[in-house]
Amino acid sequence: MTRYKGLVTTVVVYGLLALVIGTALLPIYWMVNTALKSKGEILSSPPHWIPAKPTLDNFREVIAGEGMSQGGLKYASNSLVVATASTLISLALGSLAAYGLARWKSKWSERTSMWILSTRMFPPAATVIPVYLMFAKLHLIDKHIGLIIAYVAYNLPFVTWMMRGFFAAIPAELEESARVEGCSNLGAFWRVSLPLVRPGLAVAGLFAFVFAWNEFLFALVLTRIDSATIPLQMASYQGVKGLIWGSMMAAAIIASLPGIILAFIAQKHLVRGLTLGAVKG
Amino acid sequence: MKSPPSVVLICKGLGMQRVLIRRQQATWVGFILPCILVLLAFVIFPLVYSLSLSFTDRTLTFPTYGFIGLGNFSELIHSSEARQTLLNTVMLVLGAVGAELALGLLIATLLHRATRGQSLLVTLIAIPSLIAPTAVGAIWKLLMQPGGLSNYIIGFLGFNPLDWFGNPSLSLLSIMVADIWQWTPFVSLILLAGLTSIDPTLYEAADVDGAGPLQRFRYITLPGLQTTFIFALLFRSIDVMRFMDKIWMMTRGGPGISSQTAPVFIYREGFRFFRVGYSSAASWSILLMIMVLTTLLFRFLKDNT
Repeated sequence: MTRYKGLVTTVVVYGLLALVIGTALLPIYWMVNTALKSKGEILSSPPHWIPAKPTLDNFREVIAGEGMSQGGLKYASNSLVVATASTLISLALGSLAAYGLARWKSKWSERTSMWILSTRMFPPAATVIPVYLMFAKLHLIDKHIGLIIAYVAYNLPFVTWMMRGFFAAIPAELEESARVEGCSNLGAFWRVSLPLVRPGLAVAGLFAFVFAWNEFLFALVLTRIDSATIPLQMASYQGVKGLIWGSMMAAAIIASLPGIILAFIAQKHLVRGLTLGAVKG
Repeated sequence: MKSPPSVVLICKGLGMQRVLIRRQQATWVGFILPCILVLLAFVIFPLVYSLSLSFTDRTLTFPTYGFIGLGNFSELIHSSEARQTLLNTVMLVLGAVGAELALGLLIATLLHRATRGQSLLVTLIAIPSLIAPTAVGAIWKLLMQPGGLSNYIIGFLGFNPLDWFGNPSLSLLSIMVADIWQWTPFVSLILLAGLTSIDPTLYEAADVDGAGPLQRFRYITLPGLQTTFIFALLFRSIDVMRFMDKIWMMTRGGPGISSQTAPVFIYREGFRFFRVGYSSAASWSILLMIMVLTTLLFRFLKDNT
């Protein structure tokens, strides 16, 4: 009897979870489905669950930049350059700071950590106007470097918090002995501690990359044509001779790929990454 | 360069240890400094700059501008558009975060029970929270357009099709649905982490005492989840007050201003109507509200990490 009841519970639990996963994935399936359809088929009624004649035309249009101010994979390559550079810089500055915070024994260490994290909570809409005015004066509008600086500032608190946890998990004695052996502080950091947190660097880097790749508001305000990124390409399909759903979804797939890959690679660290590394998980 | 241990001992003997420790502390500050400088230059300075702009009538079109005191703020208070925007923001926070917490709790409980294949299930469920918010907006714009899949399903279930983006009383709801789809996975994952950290012996003890499933939920699960729950509530509320990407993709705040929230208002005033002074005043108003939530969140983090 109890065994029967256990079986029923299992069936109900997995049945409901299947429903949840169906709801989570159906819109994503529909994005892929639409991107593979021809123009005539996209708005067919009733909708086709599987494209009758799958085509890559929409992807070709996105790459050709049809109706866009830029051709080729310019938007995607801008995204790649900006996200990669800002990730590397925030990893460098962030892990230095994280290491210092993890080793500095003072009440100010905790306060500084909190202050650093608090800068991430400010709404981007509040900083975007003054940053725009600053960058206009510095001639950084529509330059890669402008967007890179904005994303470094955006990702630094996150990287610092995530790496602080990883450094705190390493026993300080290891570095002590390296220092006794004559290593400088920076040398002990570089040769002893940093190699030990390599997995942490990878996870923090992945999240920082995806955050920069996905960001919209700063990209909208700080770029025009030359350094516009993928989210802007998607948004501009709205303006082109009505809505081009197929191309928009093809661009949406390109924009979503890093996040989906991240979900599979960083499985164990998803909670930590999504909560700014603030909560143990 | 080896410094023999005896040197360290001599230093200690001479009472130099303190000096060494102090020098060491200065080094740690040196490690942290570059990060602090970047944040001061590109987050704190812009915010201070924005505060000073909020007392001026500066625009992007006229080169001259002047100090107008609290003029922008009093205009905000008397503007019916600003009031509607605030109301929309509050409704979006209540609706979206409320639904995300309720559904998240349900899904977390299910995941907690599903011990077999849990990590794969978690990964699949997490995907909506990781893809680009603009893509989320684009997908839901496609699904909710008049001839789209959502109306096909609604019709299939025997209801009348909905004009999500044309009907002012539905537009904010459409944003809410997209946000709930995107962030419920994240909320379920942190609640799952909270559930996993509850001591299983508590449940065993409750079984011995003959507690039913409802009582176990009420007296063990809920109190055990309180911290995680409040964290998720504050964290999501702050985020819903900040995002604009999905709204920009789906409705641009329309029709009219029916789905306009604070960030859209700030962006439009600043970059469509070029009133950067007024827009800065609006951003500082919403900033103060977010600061209250952030302070609560941090008090919470401090006590519970």
